[in-house]
Amino acid sequence: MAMFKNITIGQYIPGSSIIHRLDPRTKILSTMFLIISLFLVDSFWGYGLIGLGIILVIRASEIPWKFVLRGLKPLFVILLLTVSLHLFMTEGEPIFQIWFLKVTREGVIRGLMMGFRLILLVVGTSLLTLTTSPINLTDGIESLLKPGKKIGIPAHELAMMMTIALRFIPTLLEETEKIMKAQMARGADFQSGGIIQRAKSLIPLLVPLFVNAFRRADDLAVAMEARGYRGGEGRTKFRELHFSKIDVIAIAIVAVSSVVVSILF
Amino acid sequence: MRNKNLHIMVETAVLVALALLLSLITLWKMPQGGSVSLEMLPIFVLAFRRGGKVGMAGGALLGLLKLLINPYILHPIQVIFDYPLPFALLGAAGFIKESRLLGVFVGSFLRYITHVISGVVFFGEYAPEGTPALLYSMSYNAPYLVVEVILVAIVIHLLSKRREIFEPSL
Repeated sequence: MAMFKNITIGQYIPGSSIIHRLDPRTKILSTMFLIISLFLVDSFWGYGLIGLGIILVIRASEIPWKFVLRGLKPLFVILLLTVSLHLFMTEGEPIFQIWFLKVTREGVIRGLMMGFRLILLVVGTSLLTLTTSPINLTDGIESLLKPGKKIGIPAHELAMMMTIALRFIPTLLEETEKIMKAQMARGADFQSGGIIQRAKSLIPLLVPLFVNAFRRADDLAVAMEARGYRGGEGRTKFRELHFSKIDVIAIAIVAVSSVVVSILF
Repeated sequence: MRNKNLHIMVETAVLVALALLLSLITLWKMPQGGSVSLEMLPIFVLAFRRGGKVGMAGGALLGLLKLLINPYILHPIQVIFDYPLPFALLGAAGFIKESRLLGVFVGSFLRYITHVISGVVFFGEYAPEGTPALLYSMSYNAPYLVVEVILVAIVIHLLSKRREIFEPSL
């Protein structure tokens, strides 16, 4: 089925590097430090140092550059637009002029800075999802949100639903393919016609898909009840998260360096 | 005695998985960016089955998972206005009891507004002063959403007689 050829869920690339082995909470907090400092820094030196830090992490993570840079592809148009808007629309000392388009020194500087910031943001944040599986990330988020329970954030339920959803994507994908093939064998055509024709042709796919999804949800709820699931209170886990010495060191390095870079540059 | 809350929780999770799956199936690619899929359909179905509150929770969950799977972080405010918030507002369709189609349009319009705001925040941060940020953002976000809304509205209409989809057994 042509529609399913390029489907990949998530960007996670399994590995056993030091970055992969860090606790997900360490990586989430470090990413937050990165985002904040990228918005506080306002000089080429600052961006340069942060960029250097990101390059070191990429090397340590053993993720091939190809995958790191792939995240920049959807950014290309936005990057081009941002840089050129700055280039031509910033007032200041003109460098050269093409017809009515005046390029200024200030424009070049601002444009390049904004471009760097965007690239560093996208590359830096994609490192988190490249080195951490969605399930691990969910565990990390649950643990980080736990203190929010007092103000009504249902950390456990949220993480439980995220885990179930992630678990069901491949199952439902397989089911979708199966139903599509079954309907196509009966002469269904999913790929032609205008919007109304398309919508109509999707119904024989959607009805069984929804009915199956509800049945699966029902089965799972029964199974959970039968095993005595009673919510987050007092529940134990097969895989526990734990901070190691390396996590403490990593957090300390990231925190100190982002504060220093943000203040100095 | 069945535990209804657990049932709703699991159903929400499975419908969110379905939404994520549908979001990966591109039906059309818009020439100026953005793609059309049926990702909004399961959130609307959830909202009509279980009410606005569950719908909004499911929408927020969908947004969070999208953020987790394929993050595209350009600005702290943009993250909220592009991920959890727009999809949560789709679920608000469940508060409208009069007509499902009206719910679809109201929910989608709220989603459109949050994407527009996110665009304005982005341009405000990254584009020089004097850029018509609101106009850019409004015109970028309109085409793919309009097609998506029309498609979802037609599908919801065609499904409207299917009680097994809109009415829960528990």
